[in-house]
Amino acid sequence: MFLGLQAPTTSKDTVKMESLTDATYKERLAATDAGACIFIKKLCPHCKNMLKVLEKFSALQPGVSLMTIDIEENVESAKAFEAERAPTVLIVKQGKVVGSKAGLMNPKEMLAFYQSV
Amino acid sequence: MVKQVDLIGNEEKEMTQPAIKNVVFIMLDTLQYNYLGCYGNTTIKTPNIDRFARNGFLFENAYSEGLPTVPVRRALMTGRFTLPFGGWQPLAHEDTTVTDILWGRKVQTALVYDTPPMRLPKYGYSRGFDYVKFCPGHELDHTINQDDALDPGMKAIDYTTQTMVYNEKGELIDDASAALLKEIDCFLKIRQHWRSEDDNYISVVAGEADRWLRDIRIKTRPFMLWIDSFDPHEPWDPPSVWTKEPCPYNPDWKGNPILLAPWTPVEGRITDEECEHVRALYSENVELVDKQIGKLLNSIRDQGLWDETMIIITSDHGQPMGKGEHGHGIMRKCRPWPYEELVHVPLMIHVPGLEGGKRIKGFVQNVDIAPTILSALNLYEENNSLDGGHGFPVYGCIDMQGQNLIPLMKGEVDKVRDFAIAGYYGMSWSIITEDYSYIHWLLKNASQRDYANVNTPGKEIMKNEAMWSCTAGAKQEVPEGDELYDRRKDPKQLNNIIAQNEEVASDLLKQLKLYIGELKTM
Repeated sequence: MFLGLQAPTTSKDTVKMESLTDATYKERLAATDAGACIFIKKLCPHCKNMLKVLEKFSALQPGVSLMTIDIEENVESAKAFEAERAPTVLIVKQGKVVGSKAGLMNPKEMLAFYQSV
Repeated sequence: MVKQVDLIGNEEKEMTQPAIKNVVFIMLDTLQYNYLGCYGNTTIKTPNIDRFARNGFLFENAYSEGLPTVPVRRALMTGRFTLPFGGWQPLAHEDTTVTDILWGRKVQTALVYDTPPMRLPKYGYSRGFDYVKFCPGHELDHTINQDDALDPGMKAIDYTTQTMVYNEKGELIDDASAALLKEIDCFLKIRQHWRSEDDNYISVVAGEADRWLRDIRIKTRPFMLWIDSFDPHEPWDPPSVWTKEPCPYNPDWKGNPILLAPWTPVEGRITDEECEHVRALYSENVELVDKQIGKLLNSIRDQGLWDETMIIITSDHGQPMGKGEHGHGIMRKCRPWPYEELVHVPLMIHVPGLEGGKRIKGFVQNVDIAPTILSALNLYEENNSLDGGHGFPVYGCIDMQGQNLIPLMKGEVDKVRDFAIAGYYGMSWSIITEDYSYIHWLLKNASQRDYANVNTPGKEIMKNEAMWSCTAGAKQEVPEGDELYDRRKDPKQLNNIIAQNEEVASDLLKQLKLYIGELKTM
């Protein structure tokens, strides 16, 4: 427990999040019909919170693949999408990145963002 | 386990909870916790509140999260933290309050109050109450009689100190001087009509609450009565000021009474002796509040309601009144500073069916009140099962972030959270743990006009994307100016030890950001 609330975790047991790298991101994103890919940084408190938001978002929008990229270990992919800050969420539809947003959103805002692009 | 008839209908439910039929919530605005005997004060006489605490549950570590008056009411009514979301602003349509949830229920609701910020136009903090009684005249509502003639024997300047108002040339020092004289003048225009102690603000509110209990409520229905008294908030106008007797807490004072002081830092403006006298008058005000609340509690007993009514007594915040532990150098809330004397609040609860006399050390926050009230009434449900009918929604508690405190009082859990947070929206954040308190500044020297404003500069600060993200490669730095205190050795936050404890500070800042960010995403 964290302050009476569930501690923010990635809960990989319940929601599958695939980890991408500079070597794999191009092919994987191109093969994604519906996805959200998040640039994260180790020990970043905001990233921990956004991973939890993505889990809740995936319950609101089933069928969306969730992916992560470590922003510090994968400079090429971060540069390719102009992701300077973590967390930055990319929305992927029909193999193309159609939206990008840095910072925090709640699950409802994340859903609205996904549906707006 | 007891069986009890559900208040919604007739279906019997298995319950583990005591038989609570009603709730009385008593807010005493600006009641600093350490001015009460039950919180360790040895000079101020508060026998009624002390007895209430002795027989009930006293929370030693209760903190308001978003300050001051208005966000505290929002957090209390909604069970949601305000610090990540907004400051001094109206109740919003998306907020779900206790009274919104109680709509269509058997529980009748009443609000008896004289807290003017709740009555600000369009603010809507009386929303949803079945019965509303506003008792006029307290600060912010004090202009109602401003066009009246004032008794020629009363002059504003005689009720404060000349040197707080005028410079050596006899000119007003600044805008705060003019504001102070106007504030005193307005108060005197109300005060001149009072004839006895029964006319005091607290006496009127307590009396009106008692009148609702005795004469107005429907006695066949359970109730939730919210009493919101602005006393012991200033003006510091206890009985001794009017009887011309020495204040019992500072009998040697020779100067004018100090009904009010300017909203300023004290250095160069308000002397240590004047600050001490303000605290003495405030202490006497606290004594008066205790007396009137004691009468109300006695009446609740006399009416036979004690054994079926949960009673909560708390405050929204304390008050800076001087240097050091008394206010860290400011008078009144002229800066958004979340120090202990402001954010640590008294909280005491009487729960029918539970043996009291317990002091609880675990951290609790004002957001815990709403879930506790609804749980006591056995009406805490995430999604409401009540049929609203006619297509109107009936709200549940799904948005609440606070915790029900009944399991803590029953001893089923030792704590509901590991730390507390406090601060001013977009201006200051604080995290309070058993070992440390840490203050993170976003905008330190803003004024009261900045934070008590729906268009606060804090709004832009909180919108900044950089607040909620990190750059690749950047290390988490503890900003210069942040403060760290050893809570065990220095509970009054007088010795900043951040320079010697960077690692502790860095961990606390991370924890604070993680938690406020988590709340933002909930």
